[in-house]
Amino acid sequence: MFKVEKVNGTCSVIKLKEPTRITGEISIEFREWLLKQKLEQSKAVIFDADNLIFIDSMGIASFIALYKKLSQSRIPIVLCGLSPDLKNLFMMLKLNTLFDIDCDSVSMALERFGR
Amino acid sequence: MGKILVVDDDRTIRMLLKLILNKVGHDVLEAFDAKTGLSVAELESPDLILLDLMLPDMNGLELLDTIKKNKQLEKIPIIVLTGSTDQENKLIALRNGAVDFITKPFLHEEVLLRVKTQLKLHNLINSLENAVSILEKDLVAAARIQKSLIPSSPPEGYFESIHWIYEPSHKVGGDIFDIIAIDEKTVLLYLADIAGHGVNAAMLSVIVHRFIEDYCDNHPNFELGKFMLELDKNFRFNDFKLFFTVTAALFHNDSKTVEITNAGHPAPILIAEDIFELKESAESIIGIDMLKGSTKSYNISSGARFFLYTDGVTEATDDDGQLFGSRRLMESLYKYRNLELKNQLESVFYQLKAFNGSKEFEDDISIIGIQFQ
Repeated sequence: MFKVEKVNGTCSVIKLKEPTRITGEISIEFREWLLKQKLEQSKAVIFDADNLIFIDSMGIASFIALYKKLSQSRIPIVLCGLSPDLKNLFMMLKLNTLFDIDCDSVSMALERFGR
Repeated sequence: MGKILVVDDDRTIRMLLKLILNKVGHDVLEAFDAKTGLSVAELESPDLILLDLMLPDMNGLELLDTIKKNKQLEKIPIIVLTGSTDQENKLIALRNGAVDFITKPFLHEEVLLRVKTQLKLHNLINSLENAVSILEKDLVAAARIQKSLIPSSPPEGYFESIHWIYEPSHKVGGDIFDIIAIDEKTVLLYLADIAGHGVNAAMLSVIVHRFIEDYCDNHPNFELGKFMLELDKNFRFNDFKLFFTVTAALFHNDSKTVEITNAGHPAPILIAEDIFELKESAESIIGIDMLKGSTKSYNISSGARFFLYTDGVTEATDDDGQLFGSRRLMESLYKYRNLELKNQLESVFYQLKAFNGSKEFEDDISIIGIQFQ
């Protein structure tokens, strides 16, 4: 359901294999999976939201938990390609101060953080 | 070890099975026909039945059917004993609820292994069912506790009227609210939404509720900003692994103002001449050290209506996956603005339910409405 790949040997890109609603049980699975990944050596962690249909509060808590885990290493977390509704949700929660939500695509995020 | 009923008209087979099963410690009951088999089963409630399909008084398949339709016996696993050429009946028996079959003539070892496997499975299923039943009872108890926290009669004299819709999406949910009189002229209303649902979220909602109640009791000079900072300090994401959003509104009846603070929650809605969202002051969620404790005051006019809601309302989806959204909510509230407050809320909720269709709401639904004096 989720996969992570290293791009340019520096950035970790997290992708959803198919269109996904990260809600309920999937949110719990996602959090467990996300926190197991070895992302500490990454220059940036980029989440490709292309296949993200919706994310509930537990799903968002996964990103906050990841932020807490990576914050000491000051690794930026980029959520790119969020739909307007999801972007509004992150903005309402003021989480745009923890995560970069302005990149429209992975390539834009790599351009900004991957060099 | 188990209590096993052998139903077979062949005495030799019964004796042989008894010998095999007794040897490893099982208790064996015997019946030579279907009628006796059924009455022994009802009387003794065996852990497993070995059932021959060729019985003198009734076809074994019929007895299988009778047992599976009997509420008291339906869960007992049944292994059928068949002849090697009896393929058709084996399939019918499996289709009708038998868990396995043993073909005659059988090996001792095979009988023991098949019986052992089915008893183990049966015990596991029983344990699981018991565990689920205990959990369900706990959930019902938790729901009762949570519901008891919702105010049954709000403090009087502060508003013209106050009503709410409160529907946890599961038995227990993460939404919690309260109305607390601070002094004769001031009253606090808050609505919090704990991330997730189920027991975890419900437990935290109870703790948050209790904390706020206690805080208000012990702070006669209540200040909204300081209150929010205190919440942020006491409910750290690192400790609870959950966050929550909350809007709190402090109504000052003497100055006819409402002071609002909002930590990651949907903005309150005000309907006076027009309808608008009270977007200030908006801050981040509770528990991640980002709160500044800022608040914003608004004037309130007589007859104006004020609404708080959780994102379960705006994130309800129709069959095409479209969100209900804040625009639709505001349109609905405005459309029914001339109804009594209670009817206005019920009409909005009715529209929301129709939009959501026949499926259950994915998130808790809370909408609180207030009409000012």
